[in-house]
Amino acid sequence: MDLAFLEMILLRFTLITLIIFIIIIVIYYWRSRKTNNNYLENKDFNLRYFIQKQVDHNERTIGYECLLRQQNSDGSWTLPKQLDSLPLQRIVFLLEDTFKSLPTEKIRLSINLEYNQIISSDFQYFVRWAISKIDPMQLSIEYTSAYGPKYINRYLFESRIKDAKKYGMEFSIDNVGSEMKSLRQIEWMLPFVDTIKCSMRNFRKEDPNTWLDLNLQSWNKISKENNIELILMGIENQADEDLAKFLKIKTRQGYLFGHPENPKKLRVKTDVEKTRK
Amino acid sequence: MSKKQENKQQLYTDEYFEKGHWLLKIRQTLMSLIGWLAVIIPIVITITSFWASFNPRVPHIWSYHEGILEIKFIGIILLFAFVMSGIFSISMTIIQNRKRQRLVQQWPTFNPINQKKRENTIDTFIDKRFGNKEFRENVRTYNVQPEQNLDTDEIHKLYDEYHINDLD
Repeated sequence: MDLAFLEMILLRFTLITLIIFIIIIVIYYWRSRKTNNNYLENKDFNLRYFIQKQVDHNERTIGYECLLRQQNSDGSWTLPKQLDSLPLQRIVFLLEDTFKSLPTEKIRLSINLEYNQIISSDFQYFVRWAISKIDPMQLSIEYTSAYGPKYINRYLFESRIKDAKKYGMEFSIDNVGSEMKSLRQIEWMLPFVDTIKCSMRNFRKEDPNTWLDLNLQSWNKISKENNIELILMGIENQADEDLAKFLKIKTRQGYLFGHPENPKKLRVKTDVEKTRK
Repeated sequence: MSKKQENKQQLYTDEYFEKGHWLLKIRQTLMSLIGWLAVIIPIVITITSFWASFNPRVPHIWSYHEGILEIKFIGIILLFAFVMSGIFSISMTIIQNRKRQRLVQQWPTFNPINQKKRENTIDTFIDKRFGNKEFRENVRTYNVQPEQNLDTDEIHKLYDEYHINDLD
């Protein structure tokens, strides 16, 4: 073997290595990219979590649902656009802001997340940080399948949820509907779901002849069969509550028990009450 | 002599730099000179011989064809090793910097749940042994009894007991 030949082999070998390493770097950058849609990353937006109570059959508070709101220029608070563009990190800081004085009981705290947020590689870091921040409350992540994208990477989704559940997170499906499609969308998730939330709004009949593929009782049955807790939302009046009682649904949420409230105002109110006393 | 200098401690002894010991000084100086010559002479011989293969006017000792080939060969191998380790370390630095920006500076990379548990465990432990926080922070004099002293690895064992030791 002469020297020129060796030189050529080593040169080729070096070039191949160089190309492989460049590809690795590009892949790493691609995987750690921020989603191109980073609308809610904007620090100028004043975001806050409003909290709505969840109660049991004795109307004792057993949890809160966090609802994201954005302050408009006129001071009113509305649901922001592009919810999935909220960086997971900002959620942790928002939560910290929401619960300045933490409830000391072991109640449930629910947060809504979108598909993109759940499958992101930051999800597990988010879950364990959030759990440690809101301790002793129990973290529950809610996912609304109706808003999810058409193509879902089931394997990745399931592994993200299962990994997070090892840290003690609960997984919940929000706002299931009355159509068969609604069940078909979530059927594969049932083995790892802890709670299902039904809203009264989807099951009210204007006309008694309207056909519902799935009524509340069918969801009740599905959840019992799979050992899942059912939560009834959107309870607005006594009749709704009686229905929950009749179906033996323990956890309830709705305007009857409390509107979503601004935790800061709530805090001021309780402080005022305390000083009055 | 100032007080500061007096306090300086002599941590080593070296007879070479002390007074006397002339034989030792001569022997060691000679040995080190020979040692350096053994480094410099082969380098000079090799460089001049290789240089002479391009320019015969350079004074040199040998001019075998195989020797020149050997130098070229080792040069190529060393250059190859240098470039390869360069590619590796530069790429890893780029990836590491990205990882620092996107992960390490953004999220706790330890398990914050266990961290919280450790905090609570040690708080209860200290409360139990030395009284609660309010008492500890307001007491004027406090005598630590012999049995209150911490054993070797006591905290470590406490963490192991609750399975919250993330270090092992």
